Amino acid sequence: MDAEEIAEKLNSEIRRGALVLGVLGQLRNEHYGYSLRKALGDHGLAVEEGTLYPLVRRLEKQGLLTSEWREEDKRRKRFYRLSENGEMVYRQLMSDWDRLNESIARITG
Amino acid sequence: MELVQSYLNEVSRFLAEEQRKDVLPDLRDAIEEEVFAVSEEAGREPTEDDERAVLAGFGHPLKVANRYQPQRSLIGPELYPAYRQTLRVVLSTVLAGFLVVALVLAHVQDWTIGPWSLFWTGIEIVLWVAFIVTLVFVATEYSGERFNWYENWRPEMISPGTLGVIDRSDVLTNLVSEGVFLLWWNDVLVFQDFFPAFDVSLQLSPAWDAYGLPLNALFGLSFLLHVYVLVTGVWRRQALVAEVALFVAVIAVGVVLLFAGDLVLVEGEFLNEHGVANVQRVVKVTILVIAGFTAWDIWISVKMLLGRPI
Repeated sequence: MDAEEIAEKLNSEIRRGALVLGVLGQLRNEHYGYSLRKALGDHGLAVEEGTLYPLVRRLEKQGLLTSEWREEDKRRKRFYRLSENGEMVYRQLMSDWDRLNESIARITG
Repeated sequence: MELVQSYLNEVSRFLAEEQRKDVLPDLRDAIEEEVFAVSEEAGREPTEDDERAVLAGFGHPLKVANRYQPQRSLIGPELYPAYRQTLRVVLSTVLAGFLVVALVLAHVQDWTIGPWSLFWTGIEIVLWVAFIVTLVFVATEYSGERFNWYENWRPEMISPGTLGVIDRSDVLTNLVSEGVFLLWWNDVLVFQDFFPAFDVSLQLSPAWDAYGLPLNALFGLSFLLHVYVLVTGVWRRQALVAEVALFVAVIAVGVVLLFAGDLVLVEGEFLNEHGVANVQRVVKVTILVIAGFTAWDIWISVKMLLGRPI
């Protein structure tokens, strides 16, 4: 395994955790699947469809998201947003993330 | 949306029956939503090219199905080291138990086994043990239970006095050769009909008669010692001292036997005196070679005892 492959593997590990945080953060405002993916991509966190939808579904099953079907532009869409529990988990994760970020910045700075 | 339906059918193949009803409608909505959004951005009705582009984004049906699964590995990375250690401990213990049972059966019921039967019985035991241990760990992984000895480890659990890690292949070689010797020495393992018939018969001479019990004791203790170190994975001072003492005793018996005259009784229609002498010589050279390997093992153990790098 060369350096590039190792970096790619490690990067995907970092992204996996960060993606959950990104999705929770983005869903503080209501989104349907496609708009969520676009919003994440616009903020530099591009994610494949095959990764995002199973993740959203898992978060909903864990009770961190709520969803409802609504009609918009003459089409039924499923809208997601953070649940009360999701808000708490998100705040906790963000505080951990900030601490981690500061530590890494101090170590590598 | 024919293409989408075919894609869903493919995904469905990789999902469990009870998951299909749950996952497929959700996935269909997600795909359709993406397709409509793409066509909407392009300002036209959805086309098959849009569907193709979206499905490419979702990826291989197996990959998508896998991401909808709650559990992706039978035994996860957290539990895997404990699984390997448990497998090693249980395998060593069960094989040692098999040897003891075989020896007891041999003495009580004159039970015997051929080399191939022994080999296949060994393989069968290994497979059964591996199957059962794997099953237990898979159940543990899925239940979310964890092992106390593994998860709640504390430094106080370290046994003092370890001198180094074992060479697993070396210990295994010793273990197998001692096990095979014990089975053969106690007439459990018989080589009758295993070799092609040469019209030559070989039997141990009366020179061995005095060594029935001592060799059983020496090889039995060595076998148990090697099972113990294989399970623990480390050499402790007492174990190394015991190994050196046992190996020195084995060499001593070998040296005494070298001077005990003929070690085998050879009978064969086509063997002359010269041929018989050659057979005796081969037996003694074999004992010398075994003594040489044993001496090398003693040297390694002594070096470890003296704290020198190996």
